[in-house]
Amino acid sequence: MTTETLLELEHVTKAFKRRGTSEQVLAVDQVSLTVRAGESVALVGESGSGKSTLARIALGLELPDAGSVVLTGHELSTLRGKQLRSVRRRMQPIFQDAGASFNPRRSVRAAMFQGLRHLGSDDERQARAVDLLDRVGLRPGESFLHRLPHELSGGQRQRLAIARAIASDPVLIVADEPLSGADVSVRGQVMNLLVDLQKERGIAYLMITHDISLARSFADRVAVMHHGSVVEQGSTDDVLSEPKDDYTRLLVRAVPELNGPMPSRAYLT
Amino acid sequence: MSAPILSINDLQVTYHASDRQVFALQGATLKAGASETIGVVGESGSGKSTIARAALGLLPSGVAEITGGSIAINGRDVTGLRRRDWQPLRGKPIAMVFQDPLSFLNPVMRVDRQIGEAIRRHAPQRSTKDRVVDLLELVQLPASVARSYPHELSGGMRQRVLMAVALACEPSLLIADEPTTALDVTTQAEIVKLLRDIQRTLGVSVLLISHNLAVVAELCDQMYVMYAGRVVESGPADEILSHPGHPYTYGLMTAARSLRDADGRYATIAGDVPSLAERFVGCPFAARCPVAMEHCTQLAPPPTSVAGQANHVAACWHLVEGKGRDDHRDIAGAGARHEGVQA
Repeated sequence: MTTETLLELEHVTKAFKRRGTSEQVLAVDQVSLTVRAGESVALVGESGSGKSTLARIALGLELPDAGSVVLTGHELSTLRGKQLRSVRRRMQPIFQDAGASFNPRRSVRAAMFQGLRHLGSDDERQARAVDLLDRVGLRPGESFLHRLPHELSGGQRQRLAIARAIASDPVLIVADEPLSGADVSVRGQVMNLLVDLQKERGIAYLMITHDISLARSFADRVAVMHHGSVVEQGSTDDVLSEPKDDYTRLLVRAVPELNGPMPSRAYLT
Repeated sequence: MSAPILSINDLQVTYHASDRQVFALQGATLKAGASETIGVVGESGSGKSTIARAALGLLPSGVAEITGGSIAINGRDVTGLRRRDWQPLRGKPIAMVFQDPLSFLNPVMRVDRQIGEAIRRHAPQRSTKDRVVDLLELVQLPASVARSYPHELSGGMRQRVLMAVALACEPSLLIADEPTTALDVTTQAEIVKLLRDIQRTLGVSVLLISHNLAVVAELCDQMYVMYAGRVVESGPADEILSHPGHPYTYGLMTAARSLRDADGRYATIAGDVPSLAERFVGCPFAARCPVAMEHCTQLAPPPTSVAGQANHVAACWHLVEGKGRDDHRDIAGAGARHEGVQA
C-alpha cells in the first residue's frame, strides 16, 4: 500500500531583500520535502535557518520565488479564490506563541467561529465549538466561550490554538514551535493531545522546532535546516542517532540533556 | 566560617496591582557561598526572577513589598534598605546579567565605553583600556569587538558583552537570569561553557536562574527547585537529580526529558501552573500532585532531609511521615492517569 502524499515541496526557493540594500538573502534554498498522510515530520533548525519561512510557504502564506508546493494533489500557485480556500482548509497552522495569534479583544467563541464558518448557523457553530473545546481539555467548553485570550494560561491558549486548527477537519497541521508558550510541566499535556488527535483523526504533522529532544520523541522523519538548505533528512533514528552531516552532529551534541537513568522511585529512598 | 555572600531567608514578597495582589514569594530560602555554582530552577510564576531582583534591591518600588523574611549580603541585613543605599552593593559584591542583553546595553555607545563605564565606577583611578581588552578576552571575544555597537553583534556576543560589563565590577557573585533562553542551542551551549570557565578562572560564584533543568544540571553544583513562590527542594544537584525528594521535582525531571512511555504518551504533570493570587496554606503543589494526601492542602510541609542527606532537603509530607512507602507507585504513571486531557 502506498501512503498518500499530502504535501510536496519541490526545489522551493525564497529570497528576501535585506532592508535598505539591494542585497538578496536566500532564506530558503532549493528545499524539497514531503509529508505523507498520518505521519509526523519535524523540521529542525536554529533561528535564521529558514524553517519558519519554509513553513509559511507550505501554508501558502508566502509564495516561493521558484519551485512548487503541491497540497493534496493541487499545485497551490495555480489555484485562486474559492478553490484555493477549500484546498487550504485541509491544512491548518498552529503558530508559535499562541498568545499572539489571537485577537486580544475577541473572545474564545469568536476565535473558534473563525474556523467554523463552513457550518450553517451560529447554533451549530456554538455546539461544535463547545465540543472542540471539550475535546482539547478546555472543560467545560461553555465556560471558556466568553473568556478573552489573556485570561487563559499559556498551556490553555495552546489548546485553544489546537481546537481552532482541528475545527475544519484538516488532514495536515503545520505547527511552528507549538510548545514555545507552554511551561515544562504542561508540555506533555499538549504533546499527548497532538498524539491523540493523530490517532483519532489520522492527522499528519509538519512540526517546526528547535527542540531536538522533542523532534526525536515525536517525529517519524526529520529534516535539518541550516542557512536555508536542508542539510540532512531521513528517518528520525538515522538522522538524530547517526547524523552524517557536520552541522546536524553539532546541533545534536549541543542539546543539554539530563543524563543517567530516571530514578525509578520518586523519593523516600 | 565567614558569612555567605548572599543569604535569603524565608523571604515573602507581594506585588500590589490596582485590582489584585500577587504573592510572588511565599517563603523562599537560598544561600550563595564563595566559589559556588548554584542553579535556581522553576517555571513561569515560580518566583525565580523575583528572588534575583530582591537580591539586588531591584524590586519595583511602590509595587513590590517585602512582607516577611530577610536578605543578607556578606552577613549584613539589607532587607529594608532604601533605594540609594543599594547603589554601592550593586555590581560588587553582586552583579547580574539578564535574559535580553539588548535592553541593557546602550544602543548608541560602543562596547568599550560601556565596559569602561563599569570599570570606572568601581575603580575610578585605573586606566580602562587594557582592562577592557582583558575583560573581552575573559568572555572569549576578539579585541575588535570593543569598537562595535551592540546592533552589530549576534545575540550570543551581546550576552558575552553584558557578562564583561558585569565582571568589570569584580563581583564575588554573578547572577545570571535566563542568560541562554533567547539563544539558539549551539550558542546556549557556548554560553554555559563560558559561565563555567569564568567561574573556574575567577573563582566567582555563579547563580544561574533557568527554566531549563538540563542547563542547570550541566553547570551547577547546588540546586534550588522553586514552585509557586517557594523553594520546594534544595541540595547538591547530583543528589537531587538521582534522588528527587519532591514529587514536583520528579515530575519536572520526567517532563523535561520529552520521553514517551510504552503507550506513546509523554510524561507530564496534570493541571496547570498555579496563579499566585492566593497564599497557599498547605503545599502549593498539592492540587497537581499524584500522591497528595488529605492534609497536604491544609498544612505546609516543613523542609525535611532526603535520603539521609542533611544538605538535601525537600518540603513534602511524605518525607516527614516516611510511611505509606508501598502506596507510591511510579509517579509518572500516576501523573498520566490523572492527566485531564483524554477524551
